[in-house]
Amino acid sequence: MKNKWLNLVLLLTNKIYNKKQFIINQAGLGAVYNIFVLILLEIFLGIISLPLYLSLKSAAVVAFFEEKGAYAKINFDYNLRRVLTLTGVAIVASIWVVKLSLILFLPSVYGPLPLYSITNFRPADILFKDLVIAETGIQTARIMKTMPRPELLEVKKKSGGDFVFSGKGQPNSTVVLLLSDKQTAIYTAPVDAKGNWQVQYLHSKFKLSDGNHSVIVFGYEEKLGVRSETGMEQFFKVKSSWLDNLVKNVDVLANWSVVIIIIFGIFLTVLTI
Amino acid sequence: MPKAEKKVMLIVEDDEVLLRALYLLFHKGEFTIASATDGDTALKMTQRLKPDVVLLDLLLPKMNGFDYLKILKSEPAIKNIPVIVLSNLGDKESVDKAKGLGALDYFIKSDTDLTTLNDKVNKILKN
Repeated sequence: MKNKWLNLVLLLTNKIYNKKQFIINQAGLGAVYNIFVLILLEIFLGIISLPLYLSLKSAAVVAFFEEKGAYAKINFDYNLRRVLTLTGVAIVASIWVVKLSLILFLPSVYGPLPLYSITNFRPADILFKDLVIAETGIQTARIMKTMPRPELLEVKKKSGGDFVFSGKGQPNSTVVLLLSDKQTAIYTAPVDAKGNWQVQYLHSKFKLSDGNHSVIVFGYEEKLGVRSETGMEQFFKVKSSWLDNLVKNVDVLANWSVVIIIIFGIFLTVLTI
Repeated sequence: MPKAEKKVMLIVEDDEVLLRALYLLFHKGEFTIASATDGDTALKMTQRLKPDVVLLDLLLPKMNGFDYLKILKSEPAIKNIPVIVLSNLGDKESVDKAKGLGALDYFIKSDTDLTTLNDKVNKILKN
């Protein structure tokens, strides 16, 4: 068993040597591919040779020192950077492999994948029981088919994650605008004498989650207790600012900084080939 | 310089991982293992230690294994030390050159079973 393991170490060091010789005479994408293979071989060697570093004390080998005129225990002049880099990469790679395996073969550990695809999409719904602001009158209003539907003509994104929704509607009526999120948000705005209306969504007052959202509008007559049918559903996308992302993902960024340091270490290792 | 009571094996290998692996293979307490990671140091250690066997890599910093063999075989005090080559170089020219310079045996790393190498070294040391 021990000899098989040591044979593997010997074989790997030979393959690494041959790969380095091959890369020296190569250029272009082929060289990039072979460098990638070389790094994988080094990582593999780093993993399987780890017991050599753990079980064998550095000062276990003796050598003859001319200046001392005697035997003395010596420390191997090993490349600490290579060992640290490759061990670090191996650990990170192993963690990723374990995580990927769990996601693929045992997804219940992580729960549903947070892909934020259309399957996570919640349409805006006036009958949604958890409206952000309870508007019982609007929710229970009778639909009047003859009442003209307001039109949502423009969804304009502004700085800071704000949006302005504007369109046309029946003059002097009220427009109700619903935004989809985990809960449906409801906004109302008066239609002016020229039939124009505008709703401002301010990110600082109510934060929609990142991703796709839908918006629908309909007219509302409070005195009569009626509303129009909803207009065409439209979509818009909310994306957090870099500052919000920075605050939210500070731990993720910390992890990535480690990965970047390791990649930089690999780059330095490649330079020494 | 008094020689150690135990027999001495000198491993000349610049790849530190492989050097550790070879140490683990040969270390059984029966003989002393010394090591060098370049040709120049290997020659100095050979001259002072007069090991019973040398396991030599050919591609070495400072002085390659061929030059080491040339000098070794030119010095009467150390020319009879058996040298076994363990190298990445597998071409016939290198094999012939090393054997021509006096290497007792030549093992190519890609084709070598370490058990065979171990048996070979033990046979030399026991004789």
